[in-house]
Amino acid sequence: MALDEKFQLEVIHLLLQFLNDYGYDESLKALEKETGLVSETEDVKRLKQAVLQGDWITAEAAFSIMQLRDESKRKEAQFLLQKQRCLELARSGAICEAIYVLQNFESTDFNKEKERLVSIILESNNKSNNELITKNGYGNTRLDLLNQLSEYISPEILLPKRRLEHLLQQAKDYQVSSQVYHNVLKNFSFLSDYKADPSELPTKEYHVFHDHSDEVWQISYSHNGRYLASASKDKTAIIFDVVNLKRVFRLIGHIDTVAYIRWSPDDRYLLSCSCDKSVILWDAFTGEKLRDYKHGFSVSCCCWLPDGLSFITGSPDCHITHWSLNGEILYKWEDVNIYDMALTSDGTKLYIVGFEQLINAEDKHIAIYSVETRECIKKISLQSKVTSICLSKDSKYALTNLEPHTTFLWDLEENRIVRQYMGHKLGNFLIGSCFGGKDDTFVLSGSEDDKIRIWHRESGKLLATLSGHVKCVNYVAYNPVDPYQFASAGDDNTVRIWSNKDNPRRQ
Amino acid sequence: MGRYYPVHLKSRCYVCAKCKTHLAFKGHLLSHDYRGKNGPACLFKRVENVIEMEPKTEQMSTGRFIVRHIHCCRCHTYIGWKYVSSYEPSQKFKDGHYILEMQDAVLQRDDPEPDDCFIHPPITFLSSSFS
Repeated sequence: MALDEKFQLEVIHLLLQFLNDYGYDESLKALEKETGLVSETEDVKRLKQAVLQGDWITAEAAFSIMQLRDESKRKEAQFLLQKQRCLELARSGAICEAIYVLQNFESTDFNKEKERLVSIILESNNKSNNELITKNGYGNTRLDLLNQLSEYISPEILLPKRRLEHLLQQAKDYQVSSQVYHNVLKNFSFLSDYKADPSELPTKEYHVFHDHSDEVWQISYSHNGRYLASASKDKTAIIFDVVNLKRVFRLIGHIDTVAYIRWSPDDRYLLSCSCDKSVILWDAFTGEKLRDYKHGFSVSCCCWLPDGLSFITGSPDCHITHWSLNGEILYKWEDVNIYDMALTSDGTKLYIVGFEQLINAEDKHIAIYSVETRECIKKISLQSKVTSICLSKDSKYALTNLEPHTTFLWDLEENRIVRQYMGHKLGNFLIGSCFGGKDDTFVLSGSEDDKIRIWHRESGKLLATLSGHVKCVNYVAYNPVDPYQFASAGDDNTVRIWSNKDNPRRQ
Repeated sequence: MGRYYPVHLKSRCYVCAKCKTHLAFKGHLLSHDYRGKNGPACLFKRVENVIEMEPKTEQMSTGRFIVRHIHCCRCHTYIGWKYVSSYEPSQKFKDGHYILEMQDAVLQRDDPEPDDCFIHPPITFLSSSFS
């Protein structure tokens, strides 16, 4: 496609800005000469010079003839100029002149801010402390002011700063996000279109652990990605070394099914939740049981607070309990039957997945609690039972598995569903899903049809359906450090490690 | 089988005689006047925490029915059946309802109180990580 003349001129303007910003002076002059265009008009230069030199009269005059993006905001921009002038006068001690400048600005639209400014100026003067002006949010430099003003000026007169870089970044982001197999960005170049190969996906069964004697219900990677803990119906949990592919410890102490397991933030401890009504704290270095925490009912789930000094548990008997590590109950909430929970990475919000059967109704929802105030922030009613929840690394998104066969992606800032992933089978049991890839670009889920599915998060496109387990796949977990590895746990008593490469020891 | 998600019933309810899993609200009891394979049984509007087996046709004293046997989802004990479909028009009122055998499901008297949480000595915390 050939660019028409308008676009040609625009591209030249982009190039002139680029050359000017990066100091290619000779190329800049040559291009200006050849095209008759300039990177900056005399008016723009005059405005810049005046602002940088604090020549406010000239700056006002120069700005008054500028074409704006939105003419209705001219007063707003002019106020920025006057405010800067006022503040600089105040800092230099010319208090009366500073206030005079504000009073003479001919608009009543900014009276509140004017009053605030006057009181701050008077206060800083009384206390002989110019820092007060800066601390109250008025620390603008002249360069800051120029950048602010440039956003009001029509881009035909003054390009937004670094416009070409911005456009190139958009192109890069678009190319990366449209490649459904994108995982780790390597060797990106603007000289050719980006391609992500299917080998970026961990679709190869790398290892099978056969150490459990009954169904494996959950797995959890240590934060350093070296170890994997598994929770099983055989009443034990196991710590595996996923680098050397061996069992490190079997954690023996529960007297019923182990349903859930989580590493402490520093990977020093593990918490396991069991149908025997207890949670056990384990030393992950020695495999020893350190303590248990008795509950009134089987325990569904738990999560650690980021400081590693306390944790929260949830049970189907509707209790959510905040425990300190030394066994003290810090708080108790009551909700519905609790099946899963997740805490934001900063430890401020707790997401609870629950269900309650009433005699004549059902209550199915996700509840959001503030850990600090302990209040329920919000309850989101649902049409189906949610059986699991998983948060993204940045805590902006959540995955939930719902009956009968859908995984939903939630935007947690807007509290709404933004995407769904289908093809797997969910219905009778608690099946887990997770984010995967280096930047959570994939969504993975177990399934009752013995398979694992991987979707592209942004488009919902199914990328892979993996076979290997011979019974229901209960849980999947992604290695937090190795973007090419995940693990799965199934009813066939196995824990499987998946990779994007073949295991040489298996051939 | 997979990890089941037990439903906790807050009103008085029938529970599995073996593992105490909650099975049905007392308020969902429709009739005491039934016989199961193992003795007295009750008809319920609905039940929770059960696994339904494959449907099959059975001849009973009241006629032919398509039923699914139900097992406790936790201990997998046989506890009764679900009426899927009745061949006799006069028995259609049973469709979609459940039989619990009274030998296997008992009425829970009270919700159990949580065990007292006993206090342990503080743990000494070491600040180190895997090397």
